[in-house]
Amino acid sequence: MNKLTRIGIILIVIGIAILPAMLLKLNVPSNSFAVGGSAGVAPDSWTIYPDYLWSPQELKMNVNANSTIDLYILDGAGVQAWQTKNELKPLHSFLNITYQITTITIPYRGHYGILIHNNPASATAFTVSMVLFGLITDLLWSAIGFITAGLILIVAGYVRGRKKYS
Amino acid sequence: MDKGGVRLEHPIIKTVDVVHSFGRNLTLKNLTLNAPSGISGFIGRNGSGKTTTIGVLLGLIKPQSGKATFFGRDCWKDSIAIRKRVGVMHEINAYPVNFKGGELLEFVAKIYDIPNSAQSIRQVLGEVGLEDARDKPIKTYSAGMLRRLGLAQALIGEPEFVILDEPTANVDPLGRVTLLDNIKKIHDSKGTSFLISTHILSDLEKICNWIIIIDEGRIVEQGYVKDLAEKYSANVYKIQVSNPWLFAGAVQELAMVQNTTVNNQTVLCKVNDTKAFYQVVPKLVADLKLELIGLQQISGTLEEIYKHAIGVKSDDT
Amino acid sequence: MTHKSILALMRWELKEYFSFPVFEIVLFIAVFSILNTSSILPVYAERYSNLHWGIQNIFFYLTISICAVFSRSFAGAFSKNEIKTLLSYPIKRSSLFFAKYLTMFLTLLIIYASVWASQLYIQALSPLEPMFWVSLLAIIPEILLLSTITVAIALVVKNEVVSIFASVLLLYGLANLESGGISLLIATGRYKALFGYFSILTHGRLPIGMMYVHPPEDVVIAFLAPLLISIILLAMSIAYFKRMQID
Repeated sequence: MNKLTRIGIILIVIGIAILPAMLLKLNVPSNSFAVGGSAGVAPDSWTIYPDYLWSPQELKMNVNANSTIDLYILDGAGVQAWQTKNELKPLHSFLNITYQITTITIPYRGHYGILIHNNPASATAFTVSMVLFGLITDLLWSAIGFITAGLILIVAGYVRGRKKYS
Repeated sequence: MDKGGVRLEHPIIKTVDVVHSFGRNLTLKNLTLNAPSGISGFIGRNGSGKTTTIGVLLGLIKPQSGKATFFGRDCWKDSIAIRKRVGVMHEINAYPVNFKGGELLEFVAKIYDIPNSAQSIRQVLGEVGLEDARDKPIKTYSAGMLRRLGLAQALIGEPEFVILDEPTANVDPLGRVTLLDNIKKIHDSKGTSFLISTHILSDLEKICNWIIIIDEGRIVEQGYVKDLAEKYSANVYKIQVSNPWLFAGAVQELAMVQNTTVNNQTVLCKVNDTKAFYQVVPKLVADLKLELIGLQQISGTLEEIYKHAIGVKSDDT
Repeated sequence: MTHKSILALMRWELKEYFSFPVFEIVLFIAVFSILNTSSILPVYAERYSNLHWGIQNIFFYLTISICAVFSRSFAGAFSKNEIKTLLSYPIKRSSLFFAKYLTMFLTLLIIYASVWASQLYIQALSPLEPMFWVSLLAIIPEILLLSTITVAIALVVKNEVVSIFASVLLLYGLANLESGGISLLIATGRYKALFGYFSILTHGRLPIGMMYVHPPEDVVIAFLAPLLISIILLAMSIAYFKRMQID
C-alpha cells in the first residue's frame, strides 16, 4: 500500500467516524429548550435571550403568546449590536405573531440570541419552545469532504502505482 | 593444540558449568562448551537446549550459575559489546511484515551504525541472492527467501561471528543447498566464523570443522569433525577379499568381532580391538587361502558420531 | 545507542503496530468517541462546560485503545519472537523499552489530542480558551497511567490476548469501584477535580453540570498521583524488563 492510498484510507476513516457521531447526536434532549413563561412582560418592552450556542441544523420554534409579539433571531454580531448600540440586525424576523410553528435553518455554528418585542400596550405572557433537529450540516459536509479527499487520494495512489509498475 | 590453523586455547565461545532452568525444568545442566573460529555445528534434538544456549551466549538469558564468555567477555554483562560483533539469525524471524527487504537491512545497518550502508546492503543482498527482492514487502517472501533475508541481516556489516539457529528449517532441498553453499563461500572468502545450530545432521557434514553435540542440556561431545570421526568410527573395518562370504563366516568366529555384514563383495566388521583385528586379518586371509584386496578403517559419518555421542542405536535424529 | 537507532526502532514500531488497519481503528474510535460524547449545552457563555460532559465515555474508549495497543506492542512482541530478534542486535533493553513505550504513547497522544482539538470548533471555543488546554492537560496523566498499568501487565503475562483482557478488566474494575464520578480513584473523578478547580480559577464558577468543588489538595493529588504512580510503574517495568529471561 503506497503512502497516498494510506492517507486516503485514513481520511475516509475520519469521514466515516464523523457520520455516526453526527447521526447519534441528532435530537438529543439538550437540543430542546424554551424561553418565556406565564409571568408576562411589560407593554412595549424588549426582552433578549442572548446566550445560545447552536449548531447548523433546523430550528423548529413553537411560539405561543396571549397577545401579538415580534420575535427576532440574532446571530452573535446581531446580539452584540443590540446590546452595545441598540441596533437591530436580525437574521430572521417574525412580526405580529401570537401563535406560530415555524422552522428556520441555522446557517453556521456559533453564538445566537432571541429578541422579543411586546407590541401591545398590555403585559403579554408568551412561551417559545425550540428544538434543533435534522442533519448537522457542518459535520455532514466535513465528513463528505474527508471521504471525497480520501477517495481522490486512493485513486491518485492507484494511478501512480500503475504508472510506476508500467 | 593447533589444528588446521584453529587455536583452541582461545576459543571464541566458552561456557563453563552453565546451569539454567525455566521454572522446574532444568534446561542447561552444567553446560561446558567451546567453539573456535571456523564453522561450528551445534547439534542436538529438538528441546535439547540449543536455543537456550544461544540465548545465554547473546545475553538474552542469564545463567543461574556457571560462566559464559564470547570473545573473552561475559555474555550477560557485556552483551551489547558482544552483539556488536555478532550477527544472528533466529529460528523464528520476527521482522515487520510491512517492511521491504531493503528496509529491514537499512534498519539493521542503522542499529550497527554501519558506514556506507547502501553499499553493504547491496553487497549482502548479492551474497544471498536476494538482489531482486530488495523492494518487495517481506510478507510476500517465500520460506527460503525469508531464511536468506535472515542470513543477509545477520551478515550485514561483516560481523566476526554469525550464529544461525536452524537456518534450513522449512527450506526446500534446493534452497538448503544454496544456503549452505552461501555460508561456506562467506566463510572461505571473508573468514567469518559461524555457529550453526541444527538437528539436521546432513546440513553440517560438508561445511563444519567443529562439532558440538548437546543432549538434554548437557554437552555430550565436542571437537573437530575429523577427530570425532576417527574416535567414533575406528572400530569399523571394510575388508575386500576374493571370497567375502567365506571370510565373513570365519571372521565372525573371532571373539573381538561384534558383528559382520557382507555388502557388494565387501565385508564390514565391527570390532572391539582394532589393533589386534588389523594384525589378525592378513593371517586369517592367508589361512583361508584367499586374496586380500583391501583392508580399510571406515571414517564415521556425522550421524554415527552423533548416535555414539548420545548413546542411541536407532535413527533418532 | 545513538539517536538514529532510537528513531529506527520507533519507525519499526510504527510500521509493525500501526500498520493498516490498526491505526485506522484507533483513529475511528477516537473520532467517534470524542465527537459522539461532546454534548452541546446550548448556553454560549458556558460552552466550555461541554468539555467535561461525557468524559467518562471518552475514558471508556481510551482504555480499550490503550490496553489493545500497548498489549500488542509489549506482550505481542514476546509471543512472536520480536523482542528476541531485536535484542539480538546491539540494542540496550532500556532503549528498546523506551522506543516501544514512546512510540505507542506519542501516537495515541497525538491521535487523541488532534481529535480533541476538534472541540475548539464543535464548541465554538477560542484556541486561547484556558479550559480547553486544562482538559487536554488532564487527559495526559490518564493516558500515562493507563498505559503504564497495561505495560506492567503485558510484561508479566507476555501474552497479547491475556494482557488485553487482564488490563481491560482491571482498569474497568477500578473505574467501577466508585460510580459517583467524583472519587479520585477513577479517571473521571480526577479529570473533574482538575476541570472544576481550574474552571473556578479561570471563569470564577463551576462549569454547568458540576456540583462539587474539590479542595486544592485533591486537585494536586488528581494531577500528581497518576504521574507518580506511572513513574513508579515505569521504573519497575524497566527494571523487570532489563532482568527478564528472553527465551
